Amino acid sequence: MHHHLDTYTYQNHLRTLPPQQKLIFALVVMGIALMTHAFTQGLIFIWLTIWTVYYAGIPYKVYTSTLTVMIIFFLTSVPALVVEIIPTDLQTMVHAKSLGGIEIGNWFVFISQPGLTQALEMGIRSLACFAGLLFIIFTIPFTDLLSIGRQWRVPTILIELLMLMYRFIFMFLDVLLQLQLAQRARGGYCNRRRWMVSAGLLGSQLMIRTLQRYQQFSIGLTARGFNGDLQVYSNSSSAYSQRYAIESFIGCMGLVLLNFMYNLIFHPS
Amino acid sequence: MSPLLELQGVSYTYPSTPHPAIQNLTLSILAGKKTVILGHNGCGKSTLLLLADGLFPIHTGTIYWKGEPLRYHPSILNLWRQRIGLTFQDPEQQLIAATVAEDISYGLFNLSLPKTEVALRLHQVLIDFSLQDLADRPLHQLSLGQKRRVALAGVIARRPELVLLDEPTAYLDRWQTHHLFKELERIHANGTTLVMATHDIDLAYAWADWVVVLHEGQLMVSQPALQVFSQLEVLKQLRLGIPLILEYWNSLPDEWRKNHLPPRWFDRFSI
Ligand SMILES: Nc1ncnc2c1ncn2[C@@H]1O[C@H](COP(=O)(O)OP(=O)(O)OP(=O)(O)O)[C@@H](O)[C@H]1O
Ligand SMILES: [Mg+2]
Repeated sequence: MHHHLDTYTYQNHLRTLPPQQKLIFALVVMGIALMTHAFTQGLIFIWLTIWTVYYAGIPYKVYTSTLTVMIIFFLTSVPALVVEIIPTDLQTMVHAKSLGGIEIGNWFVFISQPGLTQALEMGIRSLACFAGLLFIIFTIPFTDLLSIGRQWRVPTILIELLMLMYRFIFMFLDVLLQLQLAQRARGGYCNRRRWMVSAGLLGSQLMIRTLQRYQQFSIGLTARGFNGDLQVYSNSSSAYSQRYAIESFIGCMGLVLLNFMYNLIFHPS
Repeated sequence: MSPLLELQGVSYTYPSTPHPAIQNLTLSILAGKKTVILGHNGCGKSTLLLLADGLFPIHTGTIYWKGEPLRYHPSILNLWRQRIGLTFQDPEQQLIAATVAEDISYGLFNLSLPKTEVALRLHQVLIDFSLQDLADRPLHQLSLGQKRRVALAGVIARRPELVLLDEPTAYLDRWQTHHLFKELERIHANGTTLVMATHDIDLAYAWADWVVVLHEGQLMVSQPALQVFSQLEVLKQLRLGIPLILEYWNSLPDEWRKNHLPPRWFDRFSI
């Protein structure tokens, strides 16, 4: 009912730029992010954020909340990188790389220095890639992405699958928001006990409702002659913009150059 | 008559849309009245009801309950929704549990009522809305009209002082519509204030004693029903149409109409 991410996408100010070029731009920048230093990656994050929030006009709040969700996902994988467990007898061997830990029975659980460094490096790189993903999500409508996929000869079955997954995710969010609104309208979440009951009910109904909705959606598709290839008419004609082309080209060159200089100064080999 | 609910200079724009759905709206809902909110598709009726229930926070304007401004604080909102009941336009979106009885009791338990009281009210409301046979049916097996009745029952059972109904007759057959109006009449007689959003001018004519007309999110009319239906020009201008009864009535010979008032019902809901 409320706050659809793809409503923002459909209204973004870069909507009229050719979708192919936007996608290639994002992929190239993300490629640079994978191969460069943390410093360059930080710049990439800032640069792409400017593109999405400032040029495309995606509200700052929407951008940060989506980014937060992604970061939370990333953080759940951090403990696996940072925490190590070894038998207590070997404790002295890892003394140099341990940042402190505790003994539990015969095991020594500690935070590892190299692990932490690695997590930090990955964190910054992920941040840059997240910014790239968000740029794609917020500036290229999904139907455009699918038609690029078709042009690039991605197998139809894969495209169809992507399309259905995309619909499923939005239905899921839709059902979630709607159920919660309905619960609040009848005084749900009013105290701690009812909060638990309401949340439990929400959880149990969420999947069922989404599946039901999805089933109806597929019946609707079939009724309208779906044959595995959902194509919609998109009347947005795209227009090439020199200004954005120049900025993206100069920006990418600048990043590569900067990284090269950084290498020369700090790691001359 | 004192206003129960008041909106003062309320504007609301859905996030990610350019135009406001409700624009600078000032409106009073009078206690004890049967108010109809009339307007074309997309004029903002549903939005207005959702705002009145405090479900979307407004940034411009204020909503008052008996002079108390609404603040978006959990405890205040909770009290707010005990006083106001809202039935959504789409019954599918209102139901949240697995079976009929579970769904109705959910709203009752949210009032922190003791179990016995919940059972009592549930029993009564199932009878009032002739849902006894459906009580343990999974909601997804019900027809749309049946879902509508469950949704209404779930709101009425909470005994709010003000009930906001969004197109409550949609999907109901004649017999169920008749039943619904009898039920509404009963809770109205018990002192509940009723507000109904609809685009059905005949329904408005037959039922309302106060009429509010919205047009593109703005208030056009807020007057006693008698007054509104005596100025048919205004209704024509707003393209809302003229109640069938009045059209029929006006076509009758003068001597026939001279000593009578036009009837309000076509016997439409009495079967
Ligand atoms: N979730 C939403 N997001 C964005 N815009 C919305 C949303 N819901 C409604 N609108 C817009 O707000 C305006 C008012 O909608 P609303 O649903 O209040 O109309 P309504 O008077 O209830 O219409 P109907 O008679 O069709 O039920 C419409 O222009 C609609 O397009
Ligand atoms: Mg509506």
